[in-house]
Amino acid sequence: MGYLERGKPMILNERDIIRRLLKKGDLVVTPILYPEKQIGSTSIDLRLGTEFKVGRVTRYTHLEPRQKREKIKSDVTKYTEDIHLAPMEPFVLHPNEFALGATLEYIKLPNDLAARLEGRSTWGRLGLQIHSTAGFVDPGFEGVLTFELQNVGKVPIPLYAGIRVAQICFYSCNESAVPYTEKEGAKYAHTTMAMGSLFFDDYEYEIIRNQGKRRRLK
Amino acid sequence: MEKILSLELLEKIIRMELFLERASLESQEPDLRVINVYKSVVESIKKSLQYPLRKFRDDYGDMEEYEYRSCMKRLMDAFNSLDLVVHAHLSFIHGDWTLPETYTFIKGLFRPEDEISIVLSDTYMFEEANLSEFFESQLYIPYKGGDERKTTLFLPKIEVMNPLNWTILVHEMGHTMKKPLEDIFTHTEIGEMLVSDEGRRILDSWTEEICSDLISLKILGPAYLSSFITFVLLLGSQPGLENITTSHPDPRFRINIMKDVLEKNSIDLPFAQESLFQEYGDIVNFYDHIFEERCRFEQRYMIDEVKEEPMFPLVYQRFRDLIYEKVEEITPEEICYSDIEKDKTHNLVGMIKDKIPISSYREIDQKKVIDTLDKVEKDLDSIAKKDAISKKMKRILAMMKEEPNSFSEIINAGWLYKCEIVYPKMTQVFFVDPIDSPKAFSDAVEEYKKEIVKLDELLRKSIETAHIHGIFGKR
Repeated sequence: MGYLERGKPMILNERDIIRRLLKKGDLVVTPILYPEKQIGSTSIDLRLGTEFKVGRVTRYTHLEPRQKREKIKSDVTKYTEDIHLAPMEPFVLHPNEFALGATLEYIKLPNDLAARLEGRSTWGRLGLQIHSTAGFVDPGFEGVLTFELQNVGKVPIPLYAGIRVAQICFYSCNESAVPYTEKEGAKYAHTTMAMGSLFFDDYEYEIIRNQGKRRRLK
Repeated sequence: MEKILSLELLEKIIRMELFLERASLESQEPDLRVINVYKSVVESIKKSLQYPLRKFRDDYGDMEEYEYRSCMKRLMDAFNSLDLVVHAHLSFIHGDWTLPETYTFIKGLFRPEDEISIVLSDTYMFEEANLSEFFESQLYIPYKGGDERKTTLFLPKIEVMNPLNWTILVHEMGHTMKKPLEDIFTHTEIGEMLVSDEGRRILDSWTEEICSDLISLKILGPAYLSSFITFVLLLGSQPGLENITTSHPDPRFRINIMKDVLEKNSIDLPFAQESLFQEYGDIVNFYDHIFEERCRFEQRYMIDEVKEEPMFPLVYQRFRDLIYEKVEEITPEEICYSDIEKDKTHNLVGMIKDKIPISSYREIDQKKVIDTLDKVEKDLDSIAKKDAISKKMKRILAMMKEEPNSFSEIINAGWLYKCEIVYPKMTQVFFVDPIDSPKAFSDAVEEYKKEIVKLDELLRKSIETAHIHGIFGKR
């Protein structure tokens, strides 16, 4: 990159972002519906997609990770309900409720850019949080980003697909040797919808499952 | 031809597996046992394909005709088992509901304000009906559904996730847009040949089918033709392909007329889609051959009266001539041909290859933007140029705008991707690369499944996002 000194980490400004968006095979954020409103001085506003996942009451006592992978996957599915909004249909997030959502935009980071997802203060003032723990995006990530939506305010918040609820800023870094999609165990790559937890695919749980098996064999 | 047919058949089997997987994720223990029975049947159907697929491989060499026929028969048996037995009994399990994207797709192409319902059907058929009328005619009690037409479209359950085949729903919607067609038969040979109500009803029904094809072709261009060909390619193994029915003219005629119309309107079919015609032609010739043989066999036992009866082919021949002649007249003028740009479609195919949704497209003079950015950067230190910088930045941002792609562009890019990328890739996987064990076969199926799921997801996401883009991208 001519305009970035190698080894000097920095946050990209609007001009850097535009240059990277125009470079073929580099940064992708699509669609950008309204660039004048969406591209800020160091960020791009992101919109809410149409798919949500909410928790539901089940008759299960708990999630049992020592079961077979397919069974635990099916159990996790039973704990969540998929809600798919039609365009212009509201999704109301009530106080103290939690839901997973996703960006309308598909994002592809090159190997020398990391990103950080942040909320917009417009919504933060109403108590809407768009992520609780996972705001960092690794270089090489591709897919939609999952929101961990939470209403910590006192009023129900009507959300519509297409509204700008978050922003993303980009950090240049020296090129990663193992970008996200090539990393072993990259579970959330190339997604086009809100993804529920795949914690059972973590290698630790594989060990836990195997230990459980051995114990049963004894 | 056998390769594309085999791949299409495998795709339907995979779609059935996916439907059952989604059903099992939502089900509890006793229901799971029922779903497992379905799964094991589908597994057997899949296994039954291993034999013919092995024989169709490039390294197998030439086959005797009887051997070839036997393999084709196995394909037909597999599809008929999947369609006429398994699919027809999906009502026993609770599965998907129609996706909101399907509604977005259909309403976006037609009338967003209309009350259209899309029902998932157990029969592997795309249909359109007025539900109220249907119940009025079927119930054992008096029922009046009201005057308002309640359009209901029927989508086969295994096509619920497949936007490439939602195109056939567009044909079904075409039936609700009937234009008065009576005039085209007045003072014609055929009009005078068929004076009975029944005869006229058949003519109207055939014409309506052609008219709906032409509506879909105008709206969706080559994508409709491609999905129609692959649809009838599979159904060809069932009785009917070689025959005209009282409700539908034969698919070969429908395909030819659509191809003619596209050519007349200078709408190119990319080579990859053109080859589907070849596939279709080959398979029709194959079935025709079988049909002719059957006829020859049956003729030996035919009695004279039966031989004299068919006046039907003559009427049908006149009908076809008339339609070729009056095709402009029966094509609704109020619908315009979709604008499908070749270069743009190819760029969209490139995006699908990169796994990027194709909801929008940015046509931009890249050099102009970069030059303006350079100028802005040069001027940054000068306070006097602050206003000019701000104006230039506004111009640059305006140039960065993406335009939403039409549903027709999305579906056409999807079909082109399938013809250009998926078919060749999977032909390599199933018919060239070594498959020397059942495990290798199931790995190959798994790879195909991933391709199908990814393409479905990208297209569905693109349709929905393009629609939202249309709403919020307006200033």
